[in-house]
Amino acid sequence: MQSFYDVLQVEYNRCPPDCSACEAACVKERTGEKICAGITAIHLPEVEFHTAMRCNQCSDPVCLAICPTGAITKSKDDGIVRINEAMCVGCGLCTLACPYGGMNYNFNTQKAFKCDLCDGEPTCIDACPLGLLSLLKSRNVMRYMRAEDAFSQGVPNCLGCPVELSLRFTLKVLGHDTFMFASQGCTIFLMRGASLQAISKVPTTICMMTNVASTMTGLKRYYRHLGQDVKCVAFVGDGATVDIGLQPLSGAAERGENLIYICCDNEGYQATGNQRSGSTSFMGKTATSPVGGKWRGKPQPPKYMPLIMAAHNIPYVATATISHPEDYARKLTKAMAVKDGLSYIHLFSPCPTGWRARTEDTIEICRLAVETNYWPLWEAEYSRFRFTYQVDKPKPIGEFTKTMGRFSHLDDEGRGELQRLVNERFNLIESLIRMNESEQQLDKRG
Amino acid sequence: MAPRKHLIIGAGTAALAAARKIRSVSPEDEIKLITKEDFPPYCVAALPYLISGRIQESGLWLVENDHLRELRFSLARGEEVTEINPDKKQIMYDTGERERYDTLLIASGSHPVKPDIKGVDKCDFLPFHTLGDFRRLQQRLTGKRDITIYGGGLVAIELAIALLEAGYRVTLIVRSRILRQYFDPEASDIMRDILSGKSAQLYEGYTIEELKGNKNKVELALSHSTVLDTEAIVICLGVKPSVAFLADSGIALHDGVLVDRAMRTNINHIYAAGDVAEAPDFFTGTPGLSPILPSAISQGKIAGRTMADEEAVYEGWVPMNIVHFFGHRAFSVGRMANDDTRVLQTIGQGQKNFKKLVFQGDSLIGASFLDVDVFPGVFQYLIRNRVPIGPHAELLFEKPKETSSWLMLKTEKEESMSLEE
Repeated sequence: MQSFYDVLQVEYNRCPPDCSACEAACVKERTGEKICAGITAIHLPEVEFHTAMRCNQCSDPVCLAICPTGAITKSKDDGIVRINEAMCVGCGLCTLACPYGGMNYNFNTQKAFKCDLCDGEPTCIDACPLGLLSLLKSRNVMRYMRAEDAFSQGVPNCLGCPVELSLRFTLKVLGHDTFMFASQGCTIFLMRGASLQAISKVPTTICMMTNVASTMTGLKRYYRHLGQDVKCVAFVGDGATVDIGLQPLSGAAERGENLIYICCDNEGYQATGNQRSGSTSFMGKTATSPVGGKWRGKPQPPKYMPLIMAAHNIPYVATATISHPEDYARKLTKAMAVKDGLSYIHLFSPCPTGWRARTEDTIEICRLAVETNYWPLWEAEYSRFRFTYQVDKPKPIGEFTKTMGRFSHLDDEGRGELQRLVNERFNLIESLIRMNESEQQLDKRG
Repeated sequence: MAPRKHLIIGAGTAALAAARKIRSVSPEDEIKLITKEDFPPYCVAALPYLISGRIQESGLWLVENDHLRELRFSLARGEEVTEINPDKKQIMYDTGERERYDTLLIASGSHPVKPDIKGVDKCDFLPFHTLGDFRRLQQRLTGKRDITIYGGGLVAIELAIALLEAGYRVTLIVRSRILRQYFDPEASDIMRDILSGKSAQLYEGYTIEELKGNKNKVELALSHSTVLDTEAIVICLGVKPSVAFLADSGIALHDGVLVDRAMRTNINHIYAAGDVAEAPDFFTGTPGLSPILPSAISQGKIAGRTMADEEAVYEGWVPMNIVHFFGHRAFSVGRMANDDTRVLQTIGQGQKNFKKLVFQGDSLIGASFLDVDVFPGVFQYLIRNRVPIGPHAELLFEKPKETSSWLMLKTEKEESMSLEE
């Protein structure tokens, strides 16, 4: 199997005109000579093109194959393609072979020069004034993907349902030393063995929708009594979280129980036939909030559960979705590190059946939810809020709603109303984050 | 599938590229490289740098590279294959020994052309093509300062540059002009001036009619009734595919071994790649020789994939080359012109740099630059991917670095978007 490694990602054609901060930072850090950097700013105002170009760290690098002295290698550990300067004769064949402008030539030293990701912490990333550079940590995600699956094959979830992928991935990150807690809803099928084939390999407790957090508390305390610290993780739906099981969850959070509670939110009671829940979107069409007559889908906006949990001032609250697995994995890892209270992760999880969406669009819908700010990705550690992923130019909400039938009744006015709610929710989060930032600055000065 | 045995005749660039590819596809297969040179695998393009001293012989061996050790191939050094028997799927060595193969790659490379010059044998014909040649040259240069090179191709120029860097007095005798195959006269002129500035003597438009003397002191009778004395002469007049041992094999030969777009010869389980292969030209699809390093790699990779039972299609070879000398850089990719092309180039005397772009229809088919700040490989990309240049030909000429990068990145972006769809 081909290995996956980190990549330096440059957002396409979004650089400010005439900016070469990344190049300058590279020069300063690495060569100290203006003539050569591992990243090159490209400005072509004639066609309004402004971007930066760098090495792709190819999986089968042609520069490596062509180097006549074997001076170029690709590390098996980090995947970085490096030049051994002592062995480079400066023939320049690599610059001729590389089709992607990733190989530079230093005319002073007469040797080839290229990006080596600063051995994993590229200087250029911090130099970019717009944050257009990032190190994609696909390697870590792939490491998780290769971990042993906690569930056998065979799942009765609907076609296109992301719950299976999310749950398998969750357990790969959490590890198999996990006690799982399930409840009625779409998330249960994989865990309870709905068919003879689907078997969970980790201890799993099936709870009532009313008592997930209480059952977890009991088990956690029982094992603590035996002298063991067990990792108790709930993976339950929005019905069991924002409606039916809200009180026990709020209580557990308030008492400071050391649990990880993941709400897999498909915005409705989808397993029982697509009834509305407290989490169903404003104007979302469900079986109990139909469209027709005086109805235009659900008349109320949803509870914003992650913020309710953050108001408990617990150690960790985060939003996530499976289109951003590296973000989700990082949040699970942070949640695992918490030892002094409850961690809550709210996972946005589309339901192609209930939402009337194409089964192949699931991940794209997750992505659009993030890119329209419908589902902003943030985290809060004891009410210290922070965006974990920022969208520079949010797409209009219509990009999200047009992918599914539950919003097909929306006209411009309806979309406008939904957009207003999305903006309000986003502005609320943003203001909390800005408030934290200014507080921190005041603290520093104080 | 049961592990198979891949024999590769040769241990040069094409052979190694194929071996790498086979190994990446088929971890269990046996791979054996056979080279008649008694050295570990090395790359001929590195040889000039032994003269200029940028590397030592110890830095030449490619198998000392960890990356190659992992390939787990066996290497038969100093062994020559004299015959192939496709019916029995066997090769025969000069020792009479036979060996069976499942697939066989002919990557036997090329050998220097020995010109038909009077007296060439008396002064001991010395080309510059192998490590053995380098060692002979090194011996012959002992105690001498003055050396003459006959030829104006890439090897001749690289050798001249290396000798100049090492402090020798170099005379170049060129039948037409230097690097004629790759560059226009204007660019050749600038390069000649740079070399002359480093006190190289150039005789362009001269041929050698007779060599007199011995290997330690040579008198050259040139055309135009010119006579030159030199302490040593190296002859670099190009290479020919090494195909003599294939004469009775039934493998279809023209100048080299004829191969299709999967690097297959006319005989099952036998493939060819590199200097020895006559593969389709990128522009016309007609078979031809392309004895350059980039072609050896791409052909070797395709051969390796085919041998490991993968589907692979060779898009064809594109002529290209690059020379770095004394802080200058010249490179050329693609075709330099023909009838139905549109050419943009710098013209006029006294130019310090040179650029030339050749278009056919909407595509770039050739580019050559001297001392212009660009990414050479990006032009290769534009040519190989037949990127539509549209109305941007002039812009590409005026701002070659930025425009070529833009066109390349745009194409990549569009490609990845169409993949997502």
